[in-house]
Amino acid sequence: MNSKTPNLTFKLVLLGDGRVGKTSLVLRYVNNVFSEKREATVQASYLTKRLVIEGVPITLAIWDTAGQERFHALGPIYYRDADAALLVYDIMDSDSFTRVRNWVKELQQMASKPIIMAIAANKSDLVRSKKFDLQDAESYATSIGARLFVTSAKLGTGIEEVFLDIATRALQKKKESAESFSPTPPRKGMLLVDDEPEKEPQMKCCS
Amino acid sequence: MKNDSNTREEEQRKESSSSDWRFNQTLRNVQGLLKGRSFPGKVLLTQKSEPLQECGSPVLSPIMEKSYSENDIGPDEHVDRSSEGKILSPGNTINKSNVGKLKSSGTNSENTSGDVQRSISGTRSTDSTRITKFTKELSGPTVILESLREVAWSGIPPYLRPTVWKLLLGYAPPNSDRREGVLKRKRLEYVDCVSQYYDIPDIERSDDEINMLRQIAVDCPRTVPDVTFFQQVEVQKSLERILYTWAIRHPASGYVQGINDLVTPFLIVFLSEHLEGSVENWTITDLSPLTISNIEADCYWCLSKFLDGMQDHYTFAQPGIQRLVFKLKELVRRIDEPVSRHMEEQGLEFLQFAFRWFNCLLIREIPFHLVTRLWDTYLAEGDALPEFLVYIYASFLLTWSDKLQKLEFQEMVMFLQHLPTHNWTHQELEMVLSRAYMWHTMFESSPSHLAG
Repeated sequence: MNSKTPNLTFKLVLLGDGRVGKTSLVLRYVNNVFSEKREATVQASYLTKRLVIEGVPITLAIWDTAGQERFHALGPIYYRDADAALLVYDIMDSDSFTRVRNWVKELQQMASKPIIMAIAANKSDLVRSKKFDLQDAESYATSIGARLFVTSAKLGTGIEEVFLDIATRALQKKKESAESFSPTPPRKGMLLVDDEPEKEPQMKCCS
Repeated sequence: MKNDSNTREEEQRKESSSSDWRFNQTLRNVQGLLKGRSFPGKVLLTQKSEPLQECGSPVLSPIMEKSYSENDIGPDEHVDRSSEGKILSPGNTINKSNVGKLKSSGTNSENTSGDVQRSISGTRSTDSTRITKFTKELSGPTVILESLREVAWSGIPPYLRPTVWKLLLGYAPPNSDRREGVLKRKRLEYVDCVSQYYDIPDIERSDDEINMLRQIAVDCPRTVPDVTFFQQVEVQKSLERILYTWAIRHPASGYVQGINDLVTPFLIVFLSEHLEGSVENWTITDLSPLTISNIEADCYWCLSKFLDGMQDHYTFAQPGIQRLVFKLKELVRRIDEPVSRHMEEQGLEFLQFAFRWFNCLLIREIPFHLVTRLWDTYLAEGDALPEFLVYIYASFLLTWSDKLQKLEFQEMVMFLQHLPTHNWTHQELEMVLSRAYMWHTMFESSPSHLAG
């Protein structure tokens, strides 16, 4: 655990209804483990994951929050300065998708800056028939500038993809803002990047 | 007038003698720990069979057994050989730093050292002395709760726990003549509540109630998942009935995740009267439905009584917990400025780790077999518990004072959320409690310490 190398850190918060599998997603991603019996998360727990994207070492600092509403009064301390949010719902439970919409509203109102979002339709392993319809979810995701991923923490499917998507977009955004502004001032509680590698501008988008 | 002042004097005397008692008890513990030796009274270690094993003996279970033998006798040099080395090696430096801190606060201990000597020699004889104390407290026609609290604070023999807990919580009345009658009535009342609130079709519930029930049903199977006993369906059903009934009857808070954890110590302790051997091997279906129902009722009422003193811990925004977390931060700053400063510099918020401690009362932070011992102290504190929790948790946190100062934000949060307590025995827990008691005594007498 050597954290001495300066590293680009993005803060990611997981939000979603209780028991949709937020903790399981993170633990599958970070430790590659899965257990059916997980204690309910109380308030929030914290994990990190290191990865390299386009040669840039990145740390994802992940706050895995509790699903129960009672704990939401303190929610803002977790998402306030987050770079990204992963919204999770249970693919078999439409109520939990409604919660995702509510979270998105709250994020749009409360977060201190535009936040990168992705949606995970989790527990795809429980889908027995092919009859479930992702159309609505897909179009909703598109409408908020997010991508939808079908995941199963149990089987380990879709997990790498969703986190990679988030990290890639966070990095992209960072590069873009680094081009238009001088470095942003340090945020508390985060590893700081004082020597972010100088990159050639790679203008892929906006063509 | 005269009478008044007499009474007051008497009360003062009582108070001071009670605090002396507790202080001595604590000092004994601390001294034992500081020397790295076992506590006085080791004798009993080798004779667990007697007299603890009367009463169809829950003592047989390793959990209970350890709990009692160690907590009254001190660090156990015989029972837990294998883990001793492991515990001591990482613990050593920590203990040393504790020694420094305890010594620096030494004025108190000097004052009472005479007493301490006496108590130590007094205790040598003594686990039976201690049991006698409990027996004496419990045998009269009316139990004096204050005296019972004093003895119970340092740990209750497992076979007496069910009785003592019910008394401490004010569930069982102190008057022994009334006891059976009251419990009987309360148990019936619980059965009524269950049939009125729980055993009804969903159609008679409001949406909120349905949601709450669903939440509870989802949480019961994942309560203390590392203790397999709680995986039994019937246990989970009991848990569900207790929690739902409690939640319905406490609408200001309703069910909050973590309260499910809080039922488990009661379940284990009250079941221990009826099931033998290790908790891991218990089968709840060995019991008659009536017995199960009675135990469930006892758990329900004890949970209710217990949470009555912490009502605002689970209401909207959990103000009670927020307040205690704030106090904890202040207290830590007073006690250990370097750690406090380091945490602040790293941008660590106490809420980020201590919230869960208060919400689940440390059940998730220490091995389950130590929980009942910790709860002896909780219940002995009674109404004063919420304030005292702050001291216990400061003491708990500062167990890792040296370590914390070496960590940066990320490692620190993760460390604090997965504290290395899996190998803890009663020794470490007693240390935490003793130190909490000392700090409490010091800071309480000069409240300005906490002023700001």
